[in-house]
Amino acid sequence: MAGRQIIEELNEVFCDVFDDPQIKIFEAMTAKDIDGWDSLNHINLIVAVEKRFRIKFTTKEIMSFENVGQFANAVESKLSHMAQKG
Amino acid sequence: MEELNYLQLIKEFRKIKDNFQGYPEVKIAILGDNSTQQLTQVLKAYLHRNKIFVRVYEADFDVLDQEIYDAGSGFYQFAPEYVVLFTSVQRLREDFYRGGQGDVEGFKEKALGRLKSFWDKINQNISCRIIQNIYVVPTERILGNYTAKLNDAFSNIVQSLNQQLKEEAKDRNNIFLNDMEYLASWIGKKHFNDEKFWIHAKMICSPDDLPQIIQNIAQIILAGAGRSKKCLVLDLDQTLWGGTIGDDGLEGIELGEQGAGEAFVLFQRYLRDLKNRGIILAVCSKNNHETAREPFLKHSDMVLREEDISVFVANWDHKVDNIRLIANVLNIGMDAMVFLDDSAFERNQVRAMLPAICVPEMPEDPAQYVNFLNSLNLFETLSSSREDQTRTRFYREEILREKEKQTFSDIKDYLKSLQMKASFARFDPFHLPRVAQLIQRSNQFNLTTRRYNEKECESFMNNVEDCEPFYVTLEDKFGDHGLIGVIILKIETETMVIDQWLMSCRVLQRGVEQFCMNQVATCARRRDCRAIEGRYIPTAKNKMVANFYATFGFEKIRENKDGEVSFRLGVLDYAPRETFIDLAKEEPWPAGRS
Repeated sequence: MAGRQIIEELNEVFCDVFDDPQIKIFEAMTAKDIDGWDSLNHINLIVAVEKRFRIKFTTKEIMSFENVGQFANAVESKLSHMAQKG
Repeated sequence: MEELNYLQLIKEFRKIKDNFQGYPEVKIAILGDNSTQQLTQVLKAYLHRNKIFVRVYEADFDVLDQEIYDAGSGFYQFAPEYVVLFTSVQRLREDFYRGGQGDVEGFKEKALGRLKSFWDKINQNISCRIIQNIYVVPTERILGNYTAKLNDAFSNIVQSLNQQLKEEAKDRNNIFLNDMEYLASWIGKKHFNDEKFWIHAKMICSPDDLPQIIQNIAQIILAGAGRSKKCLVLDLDQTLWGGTIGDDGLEGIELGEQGAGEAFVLFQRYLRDLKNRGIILAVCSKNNHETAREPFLKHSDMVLREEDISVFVANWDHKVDNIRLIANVLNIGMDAMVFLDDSAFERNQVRAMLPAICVPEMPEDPAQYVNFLNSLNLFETLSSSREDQTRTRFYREEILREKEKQTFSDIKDYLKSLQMKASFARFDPFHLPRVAQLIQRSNQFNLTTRRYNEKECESFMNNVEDCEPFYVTLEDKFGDHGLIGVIILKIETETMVIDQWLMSCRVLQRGVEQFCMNQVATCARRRDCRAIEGRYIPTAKNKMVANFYATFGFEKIRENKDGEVSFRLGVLDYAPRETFIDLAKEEPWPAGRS
């Protein structure tokens, strides 16, 4: 699982997008676990995460995220990739 | 300025349940060949911010043909006031690569023909405004710069199709163009074109850029609701030129082709263009009057001249008072005005005291003034006519009239001295654009505020049986006011119903209302009506005419729960009013018109 800071920030984005401060994300969490996580909000989530972390997901990534863990890992690998490049 | 944040707007959308605030409502249908759900949500939220409640009909994904060609479709049943034809270049690209490539001209013809037939079909079925997308020209250029020479490159085809589309729209006055190509270029296509969202969700662009598109569409709708700005109030020092005229003198201010002064020349040119398109310019400056005028009269690099300014106020009073004065002289609402001043102090004071006026922040660097003002798109309009170009002259003549008025002790003598002539004539094709424009713009002296478009006006014109639609023009010895009133009468058995009565506020208190009512009564007698009925539908802006019918002796016959009041007067009970206006001979259309 991705680092704590990333998880925390990601959690904030989830709360923001779904307008629910109570959301606590976990690795195996899927769309079924959150009220309103439909295809529309999936896009909103992508936009919000990309903005927050200043990253860009690939098409394949956004089409294949199955749970929050994959989401968080993708964020982490992109961030570390960017850090390596300087 | 407001923040255009996609997620923020989506959240605002979720909070809108029903029209609890009692905002004016607009019915908008959205037909797209791409996914429009987010677009719909953002549009609703954006207009809600602007105090308009939207009722939306959102068609299913990519069913334009089904909705438009089936006269019984949900779209037509919804009877929208606006339909947004949200067409995408991505769909066009599909058609192109699936067989359009061989015959470029044929492809363009077919693509344009499809849109034209959409428009015509919609027009046959309902009366509404059509907002049509202009395609975003793709950025692919297979052979680099050389691509510019390739007629059959897709980007060049789209460009030329756009050109044809604009030409076609010019002749159709209920088609409004949502210039996506402009917008995408302005935002930057590198950001705007995000194929990922097309592939994943069939979205036309990155959701981040949706609010800008929505703003572009909403500005057309807001203009249709009479929300456009009409007047720009300008500060002088550091706004129209650099430095301070009072301290630096004529030679010392920064203005001219050399050095930093060029920024002000560019800005003044932009302002003069606005004035030439009918935006009223006024000056509001803390200066001695004579000092402030000096550059306008003597500086060779001034682009704006005194005759470009409708009202020139330079003194040491508070700007708030001076702006009120300007609004009074021009007789326009504060919400139709924009105040530009480089001083944050003045801006804040005006904002605090006059919340309705629009006070944009100003960039620090005068070189950015044009770009900045331009980016606000404050002057969106649904039409533009020759009269726009002479609007400044009207207002300047008006000030001469005011001066003359002060020399008369009796208002009747003054009115007589004006030598007014008015025409009261049935709609004709020549006057239709201006009629429709006045219907859009007029807010205060407007009894029912029914925003008919040009096409609807045309159908009134052609309905000789039941409809007497009149326009009113006025001139006097100081000049021509042009078309200043619209009165639409409908004959319902033996009653003449005043469906619409609106007038430009420029001509109040001159007896034009009385003149017109005399004409209405004449018309009622000619059509063998026994009574005349008028309605007053209250809005936030038309309180000034709440008692209009009562002053003519009409009796209140009913009032419904929305505050709409109906009045009635027997034709024989009407005593013609005294006026000092001669009826000008109707010029029979189309003689003498070019």
